[in-house]
Amino acid sequence: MKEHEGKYVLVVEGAIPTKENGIYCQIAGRTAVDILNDVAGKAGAIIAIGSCASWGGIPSADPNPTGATGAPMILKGKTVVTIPGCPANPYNLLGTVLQFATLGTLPALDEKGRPKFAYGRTIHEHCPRRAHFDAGRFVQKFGDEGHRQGWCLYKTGCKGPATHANCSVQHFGEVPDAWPIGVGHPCFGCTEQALAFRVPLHTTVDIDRATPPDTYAPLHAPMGKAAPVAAGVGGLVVGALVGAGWAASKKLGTTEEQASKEPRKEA
Amino acid sequence: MTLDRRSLLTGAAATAAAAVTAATVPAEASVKTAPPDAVGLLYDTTLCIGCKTCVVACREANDKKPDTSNSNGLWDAPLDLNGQTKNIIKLYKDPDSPVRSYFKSQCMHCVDPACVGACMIGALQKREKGIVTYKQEYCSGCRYCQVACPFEIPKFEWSSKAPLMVKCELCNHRLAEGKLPGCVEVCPRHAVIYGTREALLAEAKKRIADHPDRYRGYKDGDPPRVFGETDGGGTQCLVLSHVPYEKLGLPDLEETSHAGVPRSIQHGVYQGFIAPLALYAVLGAVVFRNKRAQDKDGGAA
Repeated sequence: MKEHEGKYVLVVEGAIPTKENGIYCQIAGRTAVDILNDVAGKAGAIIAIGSCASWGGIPSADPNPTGATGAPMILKGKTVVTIPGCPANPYNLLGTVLQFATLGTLPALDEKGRPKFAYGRTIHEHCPRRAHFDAGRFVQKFGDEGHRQGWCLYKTGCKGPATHANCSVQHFGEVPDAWPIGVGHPCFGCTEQALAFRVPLHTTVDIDRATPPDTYAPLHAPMGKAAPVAAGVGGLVVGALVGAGWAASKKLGTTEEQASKEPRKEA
Repeated sequence: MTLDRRSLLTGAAATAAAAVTAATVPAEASVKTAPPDAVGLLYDTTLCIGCKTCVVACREANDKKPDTSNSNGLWDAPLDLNGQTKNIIKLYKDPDSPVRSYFKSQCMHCVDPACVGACMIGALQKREKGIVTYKQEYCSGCRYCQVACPFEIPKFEWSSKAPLMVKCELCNHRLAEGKLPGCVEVCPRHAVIYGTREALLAEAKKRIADHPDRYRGYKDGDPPRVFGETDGGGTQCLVLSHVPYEKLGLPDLEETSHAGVPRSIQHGVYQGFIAPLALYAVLGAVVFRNKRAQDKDGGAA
């Protein structure tokens, strides 16, 4: 470590417990927080791999008894490349490390420290089942006809529309279709702190920026027609108002005439 | 104060008189020609593939949110132009044949626009390059433009607390930066192109001349022609189609604009706001006279 100070790459794995001064994770009597601060201080680049190291992962799920959190939350002020995922895609680690090793630079990162080359867009934007979403062909429940046909899993709780990751184009370990949607399961949202282990598995998420479906507006927008009963009621109301107005104006005239005949009392 | 029948009638008579004055203001000559630098779009249904990229681009260019109100938040799927949609791709399906056509619905930027004629304060006007633009500070929210437009284009922001009128303004903010309108920039097949009206008209006529069997006229069997060359006095946005324009929902308009009729009333009655002020003055005088008569009456008794 001393020999390569300032040059080595630190890859952090796992969440770091912070409660009770971090006593829930110790190695040879040193807490994980202590070791992390020590090793990260002399590293040339810091990479947090997996959702646990990136933002806490499963250990940080409620009620989080150990106060588990990710490396960026402890190493405040330092650049920490996060490669969330449960598990993280090895290619994204490889890409980041190779760039540092060959060019000495880190990839462009988003506001959560994730390399944009891998986490720049949502699963939904590049999903192989997207055509089914646009056409409104949804799996309603597991094992139904749509599920067998490989339709969109949004209604079964797919978090793809809110999850930034490249799973859909870089299948896990280069095995074709080795990722949740590829095997017929909705995306779990494992790269997102706001979703994974927080939003129930089969709860649907909001569509962040909706795009047009595979259908078209008709030439003439449909308009409701007045039902005969409604027209009749409307006519009655209008008629009553007209009648009342006429009666009122007549009354106005009479009271005026009476008023002019009788001397005013207050005067 | 009591209201008597006489003052009611007097008020009504004054209003009627004002209306008559308005109706007798001579109509302006309604045959207008496009300004020499008039720009517009040419939309060709034979090239459009219905990808709706222009719909998305229009939203981004005009800072409008996707309309997901009809789809439970899933899709940007407006049923028509509306307060947050200035451009939409519609689908025509022939009931008797497999013929289909997309249709890009948006402001046609008329040479003599009815909406401008109907707009009493001048929020909607033909400004630079003949583009019909909207200035919200002059809009009273009367929505006469919505009623006047033969293409049913201007839409009201019904969902807003301070609603404005919404319609295509040909991305004039982008034109000022030297960019193309949003829809034109992204169209993958150049189904909609931007240019001067003159150049677009020449291009459209050339397309018809090159492929006379590809295009249609207004009705089935009509010789092919460019929609917007003369329709309703002409429009700056032009359409070419492989389906008769009638079927695309385009209105059957005469060769002269009817904008002169609403214009003579709206721009006559509201000219300098004199007539409304005069009407209020008459009403005020009636009220004042009655009040004085009543006070006198009361004093005498």
